[in-house]
Amino acid sequence: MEQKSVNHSTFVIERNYPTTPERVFAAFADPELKRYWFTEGFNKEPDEFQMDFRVGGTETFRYHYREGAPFSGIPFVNDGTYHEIALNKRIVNSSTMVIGGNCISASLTTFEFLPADDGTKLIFTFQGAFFENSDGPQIREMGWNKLLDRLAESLTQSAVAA
Amino acid sequence: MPERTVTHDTFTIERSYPTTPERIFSAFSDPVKKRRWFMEGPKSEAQEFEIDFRVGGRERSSFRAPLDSPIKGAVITNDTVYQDIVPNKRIVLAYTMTIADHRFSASLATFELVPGTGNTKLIFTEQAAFFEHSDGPKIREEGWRELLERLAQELAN
Repeated sequence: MEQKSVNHSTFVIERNYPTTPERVFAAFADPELKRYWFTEGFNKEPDEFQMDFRVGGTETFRYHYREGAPFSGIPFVNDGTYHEIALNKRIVNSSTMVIGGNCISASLTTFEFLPADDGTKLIFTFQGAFFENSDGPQIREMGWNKLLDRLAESLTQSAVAA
Repeated sequence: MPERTVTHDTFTIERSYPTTPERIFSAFSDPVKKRRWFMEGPKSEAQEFEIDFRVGGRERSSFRAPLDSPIKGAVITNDTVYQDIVPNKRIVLAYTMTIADHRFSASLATFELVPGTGNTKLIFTEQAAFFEHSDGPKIREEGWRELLERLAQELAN
């Protein structure tokens, strides 16, 4: 028998943001707000980012890493679809990650925005299928923690700007 | 603190079919075959079926539930987007289920084909998010067990 080629994994990250569910939701729904925390930073050079935020709409993010950084010169592509949107409440989307032409994972991600006394609780659930030569769930979870930190920073900055 | 509205669950079903990975794969990739085992159940009435079997391609199928079922003739729609396809080896898709206008789940489904001696193992894994008024993981798993039994009949023909 051949080895199983897919590794399935689920992880959950919870964050509290000191702002309203409306503002956290907007950081996902508004392409300019999402572009900042999702596509920039961490040595990434965005090549293309477009999103059509409605059920059935797609999102594409193409990027590469700066020269000198690990993986530099290799094209990364995330292709996604929005499956469920409940205003200020939840978003569910799927996406694949393709590195240098090889699809290494497919995942379903759920973002739940719950009003809390001191702001908003975000419950992020990642359900993934990792294929051959993929990063695997631990590195992916680290990546999402960094992104959600950056989202926190962006919510603070725009609060100051406002 | 308001209650959460999403329940996540993962389940796996394994089946062994006395045929090749190629024949099983074609029961997914060939629209005529797929429609036969996936849509034409004894109880439900197929409404629409469109399939674009390629990465990024969509599939939509809908059926009317029996009048004597708990959901009394409601139309249920499956909207699928193919995520990854490796011929004769695996298919990964994301799908939502909708009853009337209410979407009640989104899932990632993986079909892996593992060749054996004279048979092929199919490993089905569903990673699901269930919303308000959904069937939930138990009924979903029963539904997939029925479908994978219907696939066995399709392959036997």
